[in-house]
Amino acid sequence: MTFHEMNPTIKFLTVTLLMFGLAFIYNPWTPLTVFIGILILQSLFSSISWRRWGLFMIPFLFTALGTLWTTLVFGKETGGEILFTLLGNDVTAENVMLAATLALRVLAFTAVSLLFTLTTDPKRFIYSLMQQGKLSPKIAYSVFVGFRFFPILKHELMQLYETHALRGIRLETRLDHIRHAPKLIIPLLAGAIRQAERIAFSMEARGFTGEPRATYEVVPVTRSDFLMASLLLLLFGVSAWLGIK
Amino acid sequence: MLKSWKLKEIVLLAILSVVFAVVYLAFVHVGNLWAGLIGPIAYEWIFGIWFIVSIIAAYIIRKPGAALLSEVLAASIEMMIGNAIGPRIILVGIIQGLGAEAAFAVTGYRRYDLWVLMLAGFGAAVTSFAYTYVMGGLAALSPTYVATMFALRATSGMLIAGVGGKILSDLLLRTGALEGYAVARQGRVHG
Amino acid sequence: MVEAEQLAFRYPDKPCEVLTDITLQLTAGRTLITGASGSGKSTLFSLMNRLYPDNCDGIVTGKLHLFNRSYDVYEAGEVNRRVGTVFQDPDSQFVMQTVEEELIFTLENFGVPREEMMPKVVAMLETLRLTDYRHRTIHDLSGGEKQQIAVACALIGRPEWLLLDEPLAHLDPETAKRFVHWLDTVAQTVNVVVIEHRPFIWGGFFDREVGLVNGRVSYDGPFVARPDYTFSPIMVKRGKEMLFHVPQLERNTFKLATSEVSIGEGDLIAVLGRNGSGKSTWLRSLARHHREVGLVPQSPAHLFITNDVTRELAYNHNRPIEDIMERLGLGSLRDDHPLSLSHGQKRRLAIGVMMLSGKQLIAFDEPTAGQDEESLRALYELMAERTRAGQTVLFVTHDLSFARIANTFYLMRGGNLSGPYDDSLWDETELLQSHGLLLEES
Repeated sequence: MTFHEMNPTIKFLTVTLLMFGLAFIYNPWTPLTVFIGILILQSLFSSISWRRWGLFMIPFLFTALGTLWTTLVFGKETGGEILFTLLGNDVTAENVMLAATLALRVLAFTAVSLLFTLTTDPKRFIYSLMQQGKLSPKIAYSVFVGFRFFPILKHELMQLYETHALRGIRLETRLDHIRHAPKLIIPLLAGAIRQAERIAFSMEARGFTGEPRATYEVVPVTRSDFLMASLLLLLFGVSAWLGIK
Repeated sequence: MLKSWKLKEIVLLAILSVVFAVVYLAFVHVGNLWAGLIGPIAYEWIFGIWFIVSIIAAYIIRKPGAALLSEVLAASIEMMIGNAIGPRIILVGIIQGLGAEAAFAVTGYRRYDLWVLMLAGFGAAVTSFAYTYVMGGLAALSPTYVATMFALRATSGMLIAGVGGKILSDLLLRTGALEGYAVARQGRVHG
Repeated sequence: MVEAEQLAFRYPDKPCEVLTDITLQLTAGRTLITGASGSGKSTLFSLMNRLYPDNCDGIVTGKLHLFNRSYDVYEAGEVNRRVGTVFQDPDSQFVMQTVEEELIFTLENFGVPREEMMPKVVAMLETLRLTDYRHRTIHDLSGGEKQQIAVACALIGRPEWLLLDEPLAHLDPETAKRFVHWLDTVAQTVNVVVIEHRPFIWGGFFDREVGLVNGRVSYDGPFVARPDYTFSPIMVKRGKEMLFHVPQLERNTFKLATSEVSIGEGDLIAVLGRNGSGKSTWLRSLARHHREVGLVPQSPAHLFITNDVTRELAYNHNRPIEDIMERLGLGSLRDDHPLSLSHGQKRRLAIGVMMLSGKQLIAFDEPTAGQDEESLRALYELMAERTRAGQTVLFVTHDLSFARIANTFYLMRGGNLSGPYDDSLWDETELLQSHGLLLEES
C-alpha cells in the first residue's frame, strides 16, 4: 500500500484534519516532528520524486523565513526577559518560540500538502469524491471539461500572442506582458465561454442529465485506507504529545 | 441547490474556475516574490485577485451558490495544478466563497450593482482574514500590524475583486459571449 | 420521428420568431436540411434533440411531437437515448481525455451495466473501423478523426436517429469525402438527418431534402444531388513584382521547406493544400517575416485588441478612419465590441485594420470554412473590390470551388510549396490528385 493507492477522499479528510490540528498548537516541536515524520512516511510509502518535491518546497522556505523574521520584528509585546533587539523591537524568549512555531508550521503544512498533491491523481480524486463524497456528477463532469480546456486555452493563448505580434505589439519586458494581460483575458474568456456552452449542449445531447448514472471507474475503500489514515493521525498524536512534554 | 441550474451554467462556472485557477496560481508566485522580504503582508494588497471569480460568476449567473461554488472549484483546480498549499486551499476557497456569497444573500440575490459586488469583495476579505488570523497565528503579531493587514485586504477585495470583477464582466457582456446567461437578460431589463 | 404542425419558436427576449408555421414530418431514411445562416435550421435541429426550448428558455407554439409524443412530456435526457447528435465544431463536443473514456461517458449516461461497457466499446470501435484510436488522446486527433469519434460516441448509445450539424465544416474535401463514404457504410441501420449548406460532397447520400428560408419551410421533397456553387475568376491587373522569402521552419515532426514567391501587385493568389499540409503555417510565417503582409486569421477575432470598432480601426496610427469604416459598412457598428460582430463583420473589420495599417498584401487563412453561400458571395465581392483598388490579396484554402476566383495558384504538400500556376492548373488532374485536392469520382 502506498499513498498513491490510498483512497483520495479519505486521504483528503485525514490530511485536512491533521493540518487543522496543527493550527491550534503553539510550540515549535510539534510542527517540527510532523515535518520530519511526514518525510519518513513519504520515503517509506510513496514514490515521489524528491527533485520535484524540492522544487515545490523552495518558495515555502522563503515564506517560512519571511514569517520568522516578521514575527520577530512585528511580534506583539510579551513580558519576560529581553534576549535582543531587532530593528527597534525588543525580542523575548517567548517571541522567539512563537516565531519558530509559525515558521515551522509553514514547513509542516507544506510537507503535508505535498504528500497529498504529489500522490493524488486529479481524475481519481474526482471519481472518488463522486463515489464516496456524494459530489454531484454535474459538477464533477464540468470539472473534467475544465481539465480538457487546459491545452485548448494554451493553444488559444499562443494564437493570440502571435496575431497580436503581427499587429505590432512588442512584449519585451515582464511588465509589458503584465500590462498586456487584460487584452488577452477578454478574448480568451469570450472564446472559452462560447465553447463551454457548446460542450454543455453536446453533453446533454449524449444523455447526460446529472442524475444518478452508471460508473465504470470504481475507486474502492479498503482496510488499508484506514490503516494509512491512522498512521498519519498517529504521527500527529505523537508530535502533539512531544510538544506538550 | 443545483436543481435550478442549467448544465451550461455549471460548465461555464467550471471554465471560469479553470481560467482563474491559473491566474490565482500566478499571483501566488507574485506574492511569494515579496513574502520573503516583507513577510505575509506581501499578499495583502493583491488579495482581492483571489476573490474575483466568485464575483464574476455570481454577477453573470445570478443564482444562489454561484459565488461559493466558483471559488471552491477554482481553489480545487488550483490545488490539482500545483498549488503547494494543497488541500488547505479548498478550505480557503470555501471560506472566501462564503464571504462573497453572504453579500449576495443579504441582498436577496436580486441586486448586482457595483456596491453589492464591492460588498461581496469586502465579505470575502472579512471571512478570509478570520481564517488567516487563526491559521497564520496572527495573534502573535502586534494589533497595529494586524489592523494594517486587514485594511489592505479589505480595500483590495473591494477594488480588485468588486470593481475589477464588474469591469471584466461588463466587457465580456459587450463581446456577446454571455447572451443566454442571466446577466444579459437582467442587464437589459434594468437598462 | 418528428411531427410538427404550425410550429413556431422564438427566443424569450427577442420579438421576432426564428421558426414560423413549420409543418413537417420526418420519417425514416436520410434527410438533408438546408438553409442559409439564420434560416432557423440549427434551431429546428436543437428542438429535435430536445436541447431547446429548455436551454434557452425559448417559447414554442403549435404542435411538436417527437416519437409520437409531445416534446414537453419527455424527461431530461430521455429523447437523447433515441437520438444521437454530432456537432459542427470538433473541438467542443468532448468531455474526457481519451477516446475510450469518451465512449464510456455515453454508456454511463445511459446506465449500461459496468461489465457490459468495455465489450460495447470494443465492439463499437471494431464496427466503425476505429479500433486503433481506442487509447488515443482526443486533443491530438485531426478534425476528421474527431468527427469520426463524435459519431462513435453518438452511435454507441444505439440511437434510432443520428443528427449531424454541418459535420464537414472544418474538413478538407478529401477528408470530408472519406467521412461521408465511411458514414454511408456504418450508418446502415440508423436514420440520419444532416444540416449542410454545401451538399455536393454528400453525393447521393440523402433521399429527402427540407429547405428552410427565414424560418419557414421552402422546400420539402426528394433530394436532388447537385454540384457545388460556382465562382468565376476575378480579373486583375498585375503591377510590379514583389519578392517574398519564407525561411525553413521545423516544429516537432513537421518541416516547412524554404520558399520564395514572387507576387505581382494587385494579384489574387490562392494557396491550395489539404489540412495539415502546412499551408497555414507557411502563411503565418510569411506574415511574421514581412511587415507588408497583413494576416486575417481563420478566426478574425484573434486580431482584435480594443473594446470597440472605432478604436480598433484607429489603433496605432493617425490616419483618418471614417471613409474606410463607411466603405466596409461598419459605420452603424462603430461603438460595438469587435468580438460581438458576426463572422462577416469581423472579417470586414479585420480588412479595415489591414488597410489602415498600410499592408500591401492581405492574406486570408481559410476564409471559407463553415460559410454559407451568401457569406461566400460577400467574401467574393470583398476580394473583387480590393483587387480592383489595386490591393494584392492572397488566401490559403482547401475549398476548390471558391479557389477558382484566383488568378495565380500555389500548391502545398508536406511543407513544400510549388508554383506559381495559372488557371490551366484545373486541367492537371494528376497534379491536383497527388496533392489530395481532387476527389476520385466513384
